[in-house]
Amino acid sequence: MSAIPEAFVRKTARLSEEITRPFPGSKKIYVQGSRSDIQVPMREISQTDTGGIFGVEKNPPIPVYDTSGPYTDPDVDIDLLRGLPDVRDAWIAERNDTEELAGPTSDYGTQRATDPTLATLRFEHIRKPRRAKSGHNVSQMHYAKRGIVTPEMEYVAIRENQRLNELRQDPAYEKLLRQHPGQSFGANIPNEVTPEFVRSEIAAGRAIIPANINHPEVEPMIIGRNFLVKINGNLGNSAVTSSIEDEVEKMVWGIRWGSDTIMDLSTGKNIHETREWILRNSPVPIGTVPIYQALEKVDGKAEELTWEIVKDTLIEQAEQGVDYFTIHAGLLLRHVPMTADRLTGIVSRGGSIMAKWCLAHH
Amino acid sequence: MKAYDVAFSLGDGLRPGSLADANDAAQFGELEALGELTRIAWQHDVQVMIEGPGHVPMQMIKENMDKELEDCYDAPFYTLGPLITDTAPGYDHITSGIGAAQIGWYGCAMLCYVTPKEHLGLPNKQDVREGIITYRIAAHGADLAKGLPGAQIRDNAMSKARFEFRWEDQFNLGLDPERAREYHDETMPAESAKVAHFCSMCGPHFCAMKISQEVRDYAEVHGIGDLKSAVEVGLKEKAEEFKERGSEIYKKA
Repeated sequence: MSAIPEAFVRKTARLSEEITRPFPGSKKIYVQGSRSDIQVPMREISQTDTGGIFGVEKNPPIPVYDTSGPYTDPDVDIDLLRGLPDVRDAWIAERNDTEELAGPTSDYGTQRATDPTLATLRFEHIRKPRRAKSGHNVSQMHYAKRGIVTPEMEYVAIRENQRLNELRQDPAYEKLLRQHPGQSFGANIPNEVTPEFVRSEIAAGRAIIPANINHPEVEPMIIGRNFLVKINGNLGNSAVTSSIEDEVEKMVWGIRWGSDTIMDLSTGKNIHETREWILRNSPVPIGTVPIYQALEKVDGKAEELTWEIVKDTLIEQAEQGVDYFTIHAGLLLRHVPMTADRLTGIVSRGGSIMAKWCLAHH
Repeated sequence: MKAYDVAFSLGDGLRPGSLADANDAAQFGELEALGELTRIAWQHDVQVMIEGPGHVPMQMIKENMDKELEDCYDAPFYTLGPLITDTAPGYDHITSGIGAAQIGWYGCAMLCYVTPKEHLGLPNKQDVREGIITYRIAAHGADLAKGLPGAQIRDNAMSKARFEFRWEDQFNLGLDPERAREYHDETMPAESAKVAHFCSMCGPHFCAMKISQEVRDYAEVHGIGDLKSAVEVGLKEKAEEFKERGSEIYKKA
């Protein structure tokens, strides 16, 4: 018997109707990489013919970047209760530098996993978290610096190109490829994004692929000055009333319209469980501000924050699969007086928490 | 971080909350500290991006990008807007979308969206959609301006569809196909309007695109070759004449 509430199951069905229908005139295509498990999704917009007095001209389909994940693919059976398929499982496993843990290693993660009162909120198919084997570093930057082109890097190269090379070979696109020269202010934009170019940019620190090994559902994407500009959308329930299914639905809605990453800025008592649902159903990287949750654990009293609580929160979220953490560590005590004369002081939530902590502990 | 591959997004806790506080000592002091942290993270091969403002008037936006690249050693920049004016609550997806387009052009790698409810309340679904589309416009505008190869394909396809009155294609090629269709159908809901060679903006007799097409059709029907080939033929004749006369640039008077 499932512990998941009936309402959630109903919501799952509704989700597939309302916000997962494919865009009109579009279909999902997948471009295969050097191996069969690199399948990069794109959306292809079909066009009608041009009718003229001298006959019919065919207009070719236009491939576009697609952040919406499997939700807009009618061939994929979406089940929020199970989560999305794992895109990266094999890639992570075959690197042979991670191990599966017996369970969460954070105190808070363990506590939430064993609390019987949370059974109705808990995602059912939680997999065991992975961590680097002792002495190993599993960051994309680490691989990049050692000259390794990972499947994630090849994936983003294909994704950034949007089939441009094939289009260049096809006379039907000749006129459509006309373009004004750009002004890039010194950016190093290649004529074609190769996996090696992706690797070199990550090695140099000029780009990142946010992809936690505990978020294998992610469709890799790259953030860097020499690539397509990306956008982030936020999820946030500051109200306690916001439910888990609402948050998942908002995430799916956000990526449908083109959000490349999602930041989960939720606060409230069940954010651990909400985050699990979001991660297991998110094809885009998820970012968080861990200090928000750490603050909840000390009842909102910034001065009571300790490194132990913050560290436990970081591990808790890392083992769930959060892909990037906003950390306000550049705010130093000496900066705080500089804000005294400001018109609007410190406006960042994380920043104000840090400032309060600095003042309480100096 | 390196045991799970979590990237750092180094937060700008001192980002300006108003135009008045833009680019001040606190904001840039923090940015320099973020540069130090970037170096430390990279020593551990941990991936890093840098968060940025905020509220910045247009003439001061580029300084943010330039300073970030310098202080943080080219690490990707990730900004919230910036909003270019503080005067438009209810429209801050637009005030920030303008700043986002600019900083994206200058080199910002990721733009954090802002919804119409910014400073006012929690966004609902339609606000989220509005915010995201606004930011897709900003990001795409930046891609075009930077000259990313292939960035203009969708624009060209849209323009061709527009010129040829392929309404369905225009809707479908848009960033928000549903909104485009909805707006068109508000005034011309009939299915037959989807093949009409005009829309309700100018009506059937004043459509510039329609008139321009008629000019082209006329030229084709009456065998008036296109301008370009006529010019080419003319130039070739002149070149032959030039060679025949001994290829001298200056003729003796």
